[in-house]
Amino acid sequence: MAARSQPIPTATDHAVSSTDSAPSTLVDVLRNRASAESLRTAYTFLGNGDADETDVCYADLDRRARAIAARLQAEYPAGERILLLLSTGPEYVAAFFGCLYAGLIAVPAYPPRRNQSLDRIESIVADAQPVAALTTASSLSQLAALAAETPGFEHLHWHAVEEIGDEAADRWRAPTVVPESLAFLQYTSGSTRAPRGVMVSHRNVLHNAEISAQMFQLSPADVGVTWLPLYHDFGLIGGILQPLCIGFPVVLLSPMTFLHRPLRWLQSISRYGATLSGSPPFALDHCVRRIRPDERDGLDLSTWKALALGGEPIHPEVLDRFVEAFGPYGFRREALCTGYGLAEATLFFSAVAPGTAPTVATVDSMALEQHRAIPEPAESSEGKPLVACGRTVEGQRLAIVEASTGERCADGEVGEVWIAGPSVAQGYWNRPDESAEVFGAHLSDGDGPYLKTGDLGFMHDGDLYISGRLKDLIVIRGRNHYPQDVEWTAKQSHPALADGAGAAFSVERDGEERLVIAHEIGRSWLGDSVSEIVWAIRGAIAEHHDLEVEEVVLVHPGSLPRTSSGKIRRQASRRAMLEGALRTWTGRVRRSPVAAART
Amino acid sequence: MAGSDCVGVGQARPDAADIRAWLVEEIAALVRVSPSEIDVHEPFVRYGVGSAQALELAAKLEDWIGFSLSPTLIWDYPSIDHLARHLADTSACPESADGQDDE
Repeated sequence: MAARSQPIPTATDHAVSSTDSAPSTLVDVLRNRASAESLRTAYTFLGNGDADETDVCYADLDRRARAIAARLQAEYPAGERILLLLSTGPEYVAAFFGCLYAGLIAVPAYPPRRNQSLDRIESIVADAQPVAALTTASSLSQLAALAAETPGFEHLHWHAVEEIGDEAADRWRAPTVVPESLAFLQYTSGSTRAPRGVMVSHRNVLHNAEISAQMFQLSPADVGVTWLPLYHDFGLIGGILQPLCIGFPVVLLSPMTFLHRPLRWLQSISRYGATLSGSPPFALDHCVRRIRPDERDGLDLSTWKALALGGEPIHPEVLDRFVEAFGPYGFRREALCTGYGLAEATLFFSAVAPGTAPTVATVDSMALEQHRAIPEPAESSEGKPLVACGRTVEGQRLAIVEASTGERCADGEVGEVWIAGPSVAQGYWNRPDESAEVFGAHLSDGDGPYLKTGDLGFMHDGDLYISGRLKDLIVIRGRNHYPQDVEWTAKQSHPALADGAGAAFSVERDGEERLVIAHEIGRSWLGDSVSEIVWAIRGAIAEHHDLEVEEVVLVHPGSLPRTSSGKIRRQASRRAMLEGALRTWTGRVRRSPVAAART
Repeated sequence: MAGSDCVGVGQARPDAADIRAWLVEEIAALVRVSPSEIDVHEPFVRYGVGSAQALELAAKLEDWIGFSLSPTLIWDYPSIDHLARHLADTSACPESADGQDDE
């Protein structure tokens, strides 16, 4: 209660004082825009139909944010966490800024679908300990009922965003928010069983917007389009926060709309004359495969100056296919801004600037496994083509480091990517030891602190190239999956599977990463129902991780490669599987659960 | 839900059996098994279908059936039989086919 009784400036004082200098918090940014350009559209939300669009101007957003904040301020002290269970729409942005306007920390999370349990957000709730959840009126009764049965959700208070009336806006008192204050926790990194909430401050967001504006040459004259989910850093920061800081409008579609009808993404770019739209690279192939040539007629993609690409490995043939398919409709290869970033560094770190086509470097694939990047001719069969992730901007620092010694790598040597600068986030929520280790690394010569990214890369001709992961993170369709989580789900799915004897990894097919599970059968298992086991694994992984399994390989006990301490070696298992060197248990069988049950 | 007064306009629309058969073929192809191994009462997720495949299926279904569908249909009606019965009702009265959109 003490937090709320201390004297705080009134809304009026705050608005006046913050126009005097450059805004230093997201609250200032929105307050300033709401007073200086109140009726300008901040966001346009597109629905399912062509005519279905909702504009939100800066003044609308400011009023809704004040109303929601007034309601939250009355109930919760500043610094508490508020869970956001909202899909893309006006309610999402209102709720997000409502939290910030109340000095509360937003925790964006995956909104559960109908007929789905809350198990995917259980671990976030356990970690962030939010006091309340904001959702829509239509999902409130259903979610509140689900929550009543879900452990850890008993203490959560529920609010429907639309039920908070505008009249509350006048009761809003500006919070004490400083640039160092936390704005939100980003739960895109970290395993679902041990989630890590990246603590992002107001200063982090403002700085990242500044360097993105510099890199992608952005100004209030730009127009953005995004379909990216807003509980993910790429969608939230790239699609909502940076455009607000820079002052240009954004058109938003739901991820569902894009995945269902990718044409809607390109049509929106065409119709609104968008200049900026980013995405993980899988979306490019989705467009190439799912938009028929006759549907492309009438698209005009010539205004698109920056297609920021990141979030997963970028395969050069994916870029080629997209340019070939959409070049005739005005898309330029020079608009491909391949880049690198991560939630721990707010979002953006480096990219190839618009106006320059990304370089593709071909390196010796054998040497790459030995952590050396040796250039090869492009046509070499031993060569692995890698797409440049460009450079960073002034004020950001990068080191390629031999992780075990902390020594800086020489040019052409592959090492862990370490970065530093004002965009590096504040650590992981409630995990001081791990935060110190990951965010406070020093080189052997004492230089630091750096953020250890866990990604492997090298420098070549001044560009950063990412060649893999230090750890075995699986990235599919722009989403991170921890192999240990997937392996745990697989193990639980059927009693035939041996404990701690599975490996989850991805293999590349057609320029896309796909999931493979290799699992040993328990020594004492006497059943012979291979397909039943395979389907149990596939079903459990679809249900718990929303992932399709490309292939399940069941193998004899003890046949997966192990470390000296008996742990499965995932990368060695992957190589053995690709070389056909695993002792498969009664072959690779794909049959349905029903047929399996009959056998 | 669909009133009988909506039936009979335009050409013959697929009935529940047609839709079931179409879905069985499609799911079988998607997960690479023979159609005889698909049980129409099993939830889609049991066949390892995740949201990416579910959305592709919904888009194909939309093209085949000839009217627009909610992308969330496969979560709202999570088995072949549920979905086919729902669509047979709404195909008689397509304007009611669009469900609630969410993520």
